[in-house]
Amino acid sequence: MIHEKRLMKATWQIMEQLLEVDRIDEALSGSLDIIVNTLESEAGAIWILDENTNRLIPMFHIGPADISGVSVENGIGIEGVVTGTGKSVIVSDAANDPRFDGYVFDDYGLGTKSVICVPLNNLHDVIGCVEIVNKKDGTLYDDEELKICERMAALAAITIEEKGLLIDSGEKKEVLATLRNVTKEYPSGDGKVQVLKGINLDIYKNEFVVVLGESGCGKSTMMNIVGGMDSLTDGVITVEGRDLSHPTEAELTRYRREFVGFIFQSYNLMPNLTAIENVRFIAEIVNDPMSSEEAIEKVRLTDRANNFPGQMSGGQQQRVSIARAIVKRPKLILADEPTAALDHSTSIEVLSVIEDIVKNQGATVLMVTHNSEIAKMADRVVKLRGGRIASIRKNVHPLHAEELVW
Amino acid sequence: MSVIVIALLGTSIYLSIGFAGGAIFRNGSEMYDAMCFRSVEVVSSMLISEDDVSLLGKLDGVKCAEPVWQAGACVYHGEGLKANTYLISLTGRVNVPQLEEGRFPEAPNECAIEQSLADEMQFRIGDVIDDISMTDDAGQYVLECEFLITGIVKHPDHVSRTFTQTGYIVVPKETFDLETLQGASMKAEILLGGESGDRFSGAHGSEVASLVKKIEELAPERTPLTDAAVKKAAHGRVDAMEADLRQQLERAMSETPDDTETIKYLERSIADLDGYRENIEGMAPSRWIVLGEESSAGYAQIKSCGETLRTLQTNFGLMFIAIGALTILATVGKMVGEQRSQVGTVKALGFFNREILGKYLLFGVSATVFGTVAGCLAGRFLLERIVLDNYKDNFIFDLSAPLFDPVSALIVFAAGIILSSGAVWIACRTLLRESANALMQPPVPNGVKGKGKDNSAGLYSRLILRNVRSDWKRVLVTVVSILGCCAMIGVGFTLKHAVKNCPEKQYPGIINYDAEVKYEPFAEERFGEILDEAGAERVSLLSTSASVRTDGYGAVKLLVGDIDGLRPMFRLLDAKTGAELPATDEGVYVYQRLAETEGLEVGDEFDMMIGLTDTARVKVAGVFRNYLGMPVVMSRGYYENEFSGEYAPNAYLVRLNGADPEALLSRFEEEYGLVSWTESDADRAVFEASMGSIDSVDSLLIAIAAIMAGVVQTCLTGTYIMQKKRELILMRINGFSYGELVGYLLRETVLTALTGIILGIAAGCGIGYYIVRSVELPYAQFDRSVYVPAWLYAAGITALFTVVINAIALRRVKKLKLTDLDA
Repeated sequence: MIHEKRLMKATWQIMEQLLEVDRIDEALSGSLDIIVNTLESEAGAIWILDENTNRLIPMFHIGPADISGVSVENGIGIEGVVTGTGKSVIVSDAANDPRFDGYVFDDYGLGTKSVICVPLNNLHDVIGCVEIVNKKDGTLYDDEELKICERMAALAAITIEEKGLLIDSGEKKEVLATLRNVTKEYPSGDGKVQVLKGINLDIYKNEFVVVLGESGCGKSTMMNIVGGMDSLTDGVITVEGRDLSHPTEAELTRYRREFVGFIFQSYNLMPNLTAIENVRFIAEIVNDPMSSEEAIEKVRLTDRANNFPGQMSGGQQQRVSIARAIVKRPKLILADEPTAALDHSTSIEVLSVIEDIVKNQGATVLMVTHNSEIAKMADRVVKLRGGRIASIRKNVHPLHAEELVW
Repeated sequence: MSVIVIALLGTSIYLSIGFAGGAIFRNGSEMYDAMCFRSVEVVSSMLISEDDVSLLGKLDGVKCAEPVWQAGACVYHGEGLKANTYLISLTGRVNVPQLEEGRFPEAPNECAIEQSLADEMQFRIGDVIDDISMTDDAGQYVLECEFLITGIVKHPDHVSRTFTQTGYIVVPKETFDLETLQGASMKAEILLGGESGDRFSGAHGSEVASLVKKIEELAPERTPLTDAAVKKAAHGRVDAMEADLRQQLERAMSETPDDTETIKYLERSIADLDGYRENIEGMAPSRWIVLGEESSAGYAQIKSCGETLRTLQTNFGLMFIAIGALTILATVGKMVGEQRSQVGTVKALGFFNREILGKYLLFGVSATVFGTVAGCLAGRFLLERIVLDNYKDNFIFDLSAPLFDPVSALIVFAAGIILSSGAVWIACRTLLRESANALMQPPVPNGVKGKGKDNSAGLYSRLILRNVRSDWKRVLVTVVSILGCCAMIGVGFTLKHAVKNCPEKQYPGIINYDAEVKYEPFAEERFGEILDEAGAERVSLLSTSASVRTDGYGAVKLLVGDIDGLRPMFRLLDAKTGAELPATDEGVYVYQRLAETEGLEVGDEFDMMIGLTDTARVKVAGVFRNYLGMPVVMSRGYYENEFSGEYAPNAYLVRLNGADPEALLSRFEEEYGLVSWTESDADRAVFEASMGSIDSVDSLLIAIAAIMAGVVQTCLTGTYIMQKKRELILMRINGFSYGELVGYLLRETVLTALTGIILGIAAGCGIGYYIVRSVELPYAQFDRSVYVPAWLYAAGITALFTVVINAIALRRVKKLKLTDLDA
């Protein structure tokens, strides 16, 4: 009875989400989140069929495995078979099920015990499928649970039919950095606290990734590890194919110097250097920097170039901080709450500059923020919860900075 | 911890040296009180009558006066042992000897001797001094010629072990012919009954000076009476002689009228008596020499030791305290700065500024108080003991009982509280003015003002200069602290060298002879022959002790002779120009320290007295360089013009030229007429013995200064790195290597260290000169020149500390956590 009530409540929530939320990507990822939580599952994904390539692409997924860059051929594997046949399945041992040829989550470290996969049927075609993976308590999914998934899939398909959904193929993207089963422990009293509990994430070149999460969920720790400011306890991190899991001090220094640009919440400018000198200070140590004047110009601060930080507003200081980050021509820019100390309009100025960097400099920006509104301008939004990736969402229509409101 | 250590070091060194100086004064004062050491001594060129002594005893402030009889004596014992000393009457109320062993003499033919005489002449209690001759006119009043030694005593006139003076032979006053003397004595010892307590205090000194002045004013009234009495007595004796001669003449004329020779002899003798009468009438008026306590070498030495320590305390100690205060200011400032967010929080929670300030006052002041208390204890129980132990062997009494001066301790304690409170207040002042919200935000360092101009200097240079400008208080504290430490170390080495090099400057810079041989006038020719035979060079002169009267009396060694002839043995170089002073009959050449201490300049005049009677007002013809001893030089012509005594050479200055001094001395001893043989550097041994204590204390100061330099630099470097932590992490995050970070940090460190060292040397040279001048002795002028190695050592030690401390501190930079950027 309780189970039924819960399922009914979830159905209403999904309906609410899909019908009332304007943005299709938010509506779908929200629905997926509701159903994964309702079914107390480890992971979930909404796969959409790209008719051009006849491949299924995971537009939204939840859980510890980052399958953003994966695509599955229509008709092959659980997702392909369900999409191809338009029939729902419950699978208890995907790896050994003779109906399917391999299983995508297995390849990302998530051994599947129980899977529900239902097709996304609109009025004419099957446009993809919804997949829910592994009940947390280890039990198998039942028919009631399958039904609610089908209901959710039907509603989702109608919504997609009504609102339309652009498909962005992850296969076109080149991986810049990869985190696999990354854990981080800190000593605490007599024991240890595990802040990251196995992060799997791919960061692609020239994308804007926003990391959201509650305080203490591990987002700053993850960013510190990606930025070479902190070491991981276990797991693997590769950057452009190079293993940086256990680097030497010199390797790390070189990595930070040539590869990463940093933008901080509190700007952290050298108070006794002017804006342009702050930029030049960093430019002097890298191999092929942009000219400091150009960097300053890119953040639209040429007229304040000779001002000291103490003579500039917070937004201006943050723009100097951005200029300092981009002057290296870094491949990866890490931004830690860059707008947290700024008002709305100043934040928009800063975010515009960052947007410009991604679009015109070809850099990847990994930004940590509490502000979920900012996530709307990201290519992907990674949510962390309790030291794990809770979900990864692709923004189908990333907004421009000027469009953000909070 | 750093505040505690710095407060401990500053307090301990300041108080320990002050305590030690106070202990020497207090112990010396108690020692003198126990022996009723005379406050004033009146020596007459003739005699002091009983009435004079009685009158002196009744002067205001005088507790008692006691007559003293004395006569110069030369004692022989065993094979070749000889000592020139004094036979002196045993006193009971003033200047009372302290019995060490045996008993005081009771019979006229008994004596007690001082330990130094016993040691020198190998006398023991029970021995009889039977080979003794009197060496001055007073000897005619000594009734005995053999003395049984009944005891060993310590005499208040001879408390110094450094200034070796042959000990007295103390006898009962009945040893002297009191009947003939009609109760008159050679000198009077006077004890003040004032309540000043400390014999080395300014109040006591004023009392003594006042009494001296009073007695000197009394002298012109009293000496004519004595002179008249002496003349009367002398006339009486001549009259008696005349009566006796006339009686003999009458008898001869009546009984042996043919014995014309006898009759003529007696008539001539009677006629000669008129000459005696004329001589008696023509006798120079007698005079009193009134001496304060400082005329005693022992007293002067104790005073000098105590004052030297007080000088070192004032100069070094205050430097320690000043550096400590600055470092505490920097440290407390940093401590408060680090807790700005907490200050903001409690402010937001409604705490008043005074409550917040109170917390930090308690925190900063308690550390200082703890350090000050620990410093008091360390000073009292460790360093003071070390300092006093260095003075232990300077005196025949143990003056090393430590002292705890609660007043000084309280003053330092209060100063510590005031300084640390001030430091906390200064540190908190800016913080408390800020809003709670601003304080809770990460600190935004102050930047420089105005537009940044892109000048030709490199980015790093500009950054360092701007860092210095914007953080000038910390930089100033750092520079001043390094300056102070460098200066203290340099001053320590300078003082050490100045003291040590004093004899080196004298020998052979000034003194170019090897020995001075003094002889009886009749032996001059024979001694000259002996020296010639040995191939030694010699210059004959009159060498005698003299007293110089300016504000008080000071003993000098007067050399009279042919100045040009003297020059090869004793260089007379002008104190200012270094040029040779010309021979002159227009005045006396005085040594530089005398000119400085008495304020004498060329053309000034002062009284000089040879013996007790021959006095002249002499003019300063020049001031010559001299580092040890107290020589004044005049030409024979000037001497003969100014003094009544006849010029009679009594000494040779001898340059041995390879001759064996032992053999020469033996030759002289085989002849009659040898008075003394003195190595030219005899003063050196005395000086080195007395300066050993200063040298040791100086070593202690250098050691503490070096420790202080280490602690201060550790503290300031730590503060500097803590302050730069944010910048450093930021640089590391942006890919600066550890080496580049070190380079960045060292730029300012090197700049501040170099500035501190250079300014420390500049300031230290001045301070060093001042301190060297302050601790100079009346008989010793230290080497005042800038001792370059001292400053090289100071710079080297300071730089070494900078390098070592930075090397250790910079390792922390390597361990900086990049994730602590906003911590």
